[in-house]
Amino acid sequence: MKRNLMFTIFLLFNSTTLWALDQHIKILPVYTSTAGSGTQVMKIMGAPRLL
Amino acid sequence: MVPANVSSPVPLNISLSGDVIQQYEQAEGAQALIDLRNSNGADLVIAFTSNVIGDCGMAPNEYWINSTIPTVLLANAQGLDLRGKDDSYIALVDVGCSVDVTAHELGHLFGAGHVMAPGESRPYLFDDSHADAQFFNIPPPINILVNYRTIVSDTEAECAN
Repeated sequence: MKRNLMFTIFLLFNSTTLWALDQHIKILPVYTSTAGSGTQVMKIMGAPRLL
Repeated sequence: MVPANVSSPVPLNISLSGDVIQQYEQAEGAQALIDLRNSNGADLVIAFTSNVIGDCGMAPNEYWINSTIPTVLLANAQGLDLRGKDDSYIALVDVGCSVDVTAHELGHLFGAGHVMAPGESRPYLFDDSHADAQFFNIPPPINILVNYRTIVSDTEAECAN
């Protein structure tokens, strides 16, 4: 009985650990030299496409 | 839902030029970007640029989950599909476009393909690719149509057609 309880706790700990590995996705925004240029032109709605 | 940790924007000291594919390839091949990704331990990178000729953003499409061409998970011994580890982490966004472009491209980086209008044959390009998802919740002839939009839909008509 005690062994089963310990095994259950072990499994729970392991699954929690594995889940924790996937808890966060890190997103890094970078801006190029071009993005800061003063020549930026707002695009006309309807024309640009998303790929 | 997986929480995302978004870092503060950092400068990428390169200039990009040309159309969306050219700028994407320039960014993807830049050692400076690879170094930033590694030094920050980033899972995904959004490269903000401007003056992209014609388009607003781009993300790699090799492994998109698509409504008509289902992508199959090809797991390795650890159960992970790492085919895109070297080239499917970066998206390019033109800062001159609508703010939801970033969310759209992030959707692609998470594996989402474009939503396709019913009856269209092309899987994910251009005019048929950003339609509302449509579901008939009652079979014909009643035809009650339920529309909803996803982040890979055309949310503000910013896409062609």
